[in-house]
Amino acid sequence: MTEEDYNTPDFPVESDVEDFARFPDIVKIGTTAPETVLTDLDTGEPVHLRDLTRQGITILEFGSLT
Amino acid sequence: MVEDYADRGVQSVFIYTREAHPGEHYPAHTSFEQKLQHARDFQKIVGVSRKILVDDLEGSTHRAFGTLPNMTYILNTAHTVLFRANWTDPPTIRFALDYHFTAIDRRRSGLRQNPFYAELYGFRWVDDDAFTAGLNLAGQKAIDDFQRAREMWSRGEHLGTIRNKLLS
Repeated sequence: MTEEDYNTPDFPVESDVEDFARFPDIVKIGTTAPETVLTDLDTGEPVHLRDLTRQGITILEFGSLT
Repeated sequence: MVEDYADRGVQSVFIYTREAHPGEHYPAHTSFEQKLQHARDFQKIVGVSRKILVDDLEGSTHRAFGTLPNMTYILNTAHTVLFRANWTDPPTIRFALDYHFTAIDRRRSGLRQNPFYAELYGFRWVDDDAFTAGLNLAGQKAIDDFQRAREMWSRGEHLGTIRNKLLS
């Protein structure tokens, strides 16, 4: 998926419905979560998700301003 | 909420994704710097005190976890998924944490336990005012987009998409 495909200019109503239907098949309970890298908003430093979870039980909430 | 579990070492982070309802004021991201700026605005406007981690422009983390607009996961120190929800609902998160730590305490007290799989059909509180405020913040385009989606859902047009997915 390209940046353009992911960052849809409109509310992605079709793919949103598909993603909700697909969710039970993704990253299941009891499995190892994906190990990805993000950027700390305050420091600008890369954060490896795996390094974060080593520190304790971690709640991940996904979202945006809109 | 996470303060209530500070003695258990619980941490909470917000992962900033694509704009769910892009509008004139907060359009779809075309650069990482723009995405960072939207995240800074989110931090300021909503008053977020927890750590915010910004996903890359391609949404690598968001897509790896399911691409939904406001989902929640709880991971343990082995990076194993303890809980997941396709929508964020604080009472359900609290329920999951309490359940988890009760089980930990039972184990520490010597009770023999085996892990098992369970699911929950959740019911979340719908805050229409807050949601509408978010759309207003994004701009008229976001309001119009969502109105079109509501009309589509009311006609049941999304059911075909779900059926096709289930049959695929």
